[in-house]
Amino acid sequence: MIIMPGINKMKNRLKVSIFFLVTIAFLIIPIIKFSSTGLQHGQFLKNDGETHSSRYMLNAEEKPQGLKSLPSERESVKKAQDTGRDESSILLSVMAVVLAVWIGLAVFLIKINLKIVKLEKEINEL
Amino acid sequence: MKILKFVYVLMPISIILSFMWAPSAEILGNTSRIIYFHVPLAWGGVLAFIVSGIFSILYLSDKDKKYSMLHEKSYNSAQIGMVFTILATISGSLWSKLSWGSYWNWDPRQTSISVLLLIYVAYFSLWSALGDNSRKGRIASAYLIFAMITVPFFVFIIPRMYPSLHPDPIINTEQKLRLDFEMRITLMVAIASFTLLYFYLLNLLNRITVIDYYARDKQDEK
Repeated sequence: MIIMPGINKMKNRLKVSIFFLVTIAFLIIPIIKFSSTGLQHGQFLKNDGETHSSRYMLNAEEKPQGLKSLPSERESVKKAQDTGRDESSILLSVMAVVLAVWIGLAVFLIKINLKIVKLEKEINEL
Repeated sequence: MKILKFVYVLMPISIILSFMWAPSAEILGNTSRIIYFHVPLAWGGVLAFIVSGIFSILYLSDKDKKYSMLHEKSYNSAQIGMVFTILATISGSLWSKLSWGSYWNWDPRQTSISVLLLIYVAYFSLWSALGDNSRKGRIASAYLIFAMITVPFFVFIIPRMYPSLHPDPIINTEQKLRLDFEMRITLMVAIASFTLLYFYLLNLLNRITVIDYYARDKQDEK
């Protein structure tokens, strides 16, 4: 016999909201990573130039007053050297963290799905 | 709904493309990679609000009771839309800090999204306030239709009427996608994966709602 009162529904919704909270972490981690390693604005201009540039982004000349000034290339390179990591290794580690978070979420969602399937079967058998 | 499970494959692909394949943008550098989360989340939010509005229209026009629990389903969709929009706002404000120097600038787009969020906060308040009222479905659905009508104004029209710190929209009046090829593909994959995620979550919530309905029914029979 199924006993699935409103409290269980709330529990499930709570779980889904936890999932969303973890998603926030999934967004914040890479940003904090970048901001703390100096890998910011314009750092890749030197290497990528026009080929990899995005035309929809603001040009330096069109920059509105609220835009933060770019850190000089020298400063950011120095900062990256100080941390002892190059851009690709940082990108890889950020990606690994994000993927790990996603795997955790996927496992969580699969578990919820299995529980729902089980309950649906019980309902159909009644 | 097996196609929804494709999200488990598509989301990691999207993450890998965002960090490994897509180039960093001019001026913004690697912070521009937030776009692969920020834009799909905003899109997911708009989609969820529109779906909740459509469910509400169906609920109000369904006099023969062909569909079941549509008002609950529209509530579920609005819930997901709300969370997606909040996440889009958070990611946007973090990006704003990195690009413009502060988390909040009362930019037209930021202002309109906060008004939109308030409209949906009012919907959830209304939903809770109505409790077990027999007209809850009708009242809440009518409100959701009104809320859905405001979505295009706050997302597409008002932000384009005033000068903004935001760059030109990707899709603009010239009908051109101003994105490099790799960025465009990555963004499309990210949008597809977040859309699938939205439908997958909606499916889970709707199934929970149905189970809850049957369980309540059984309890009432006892």
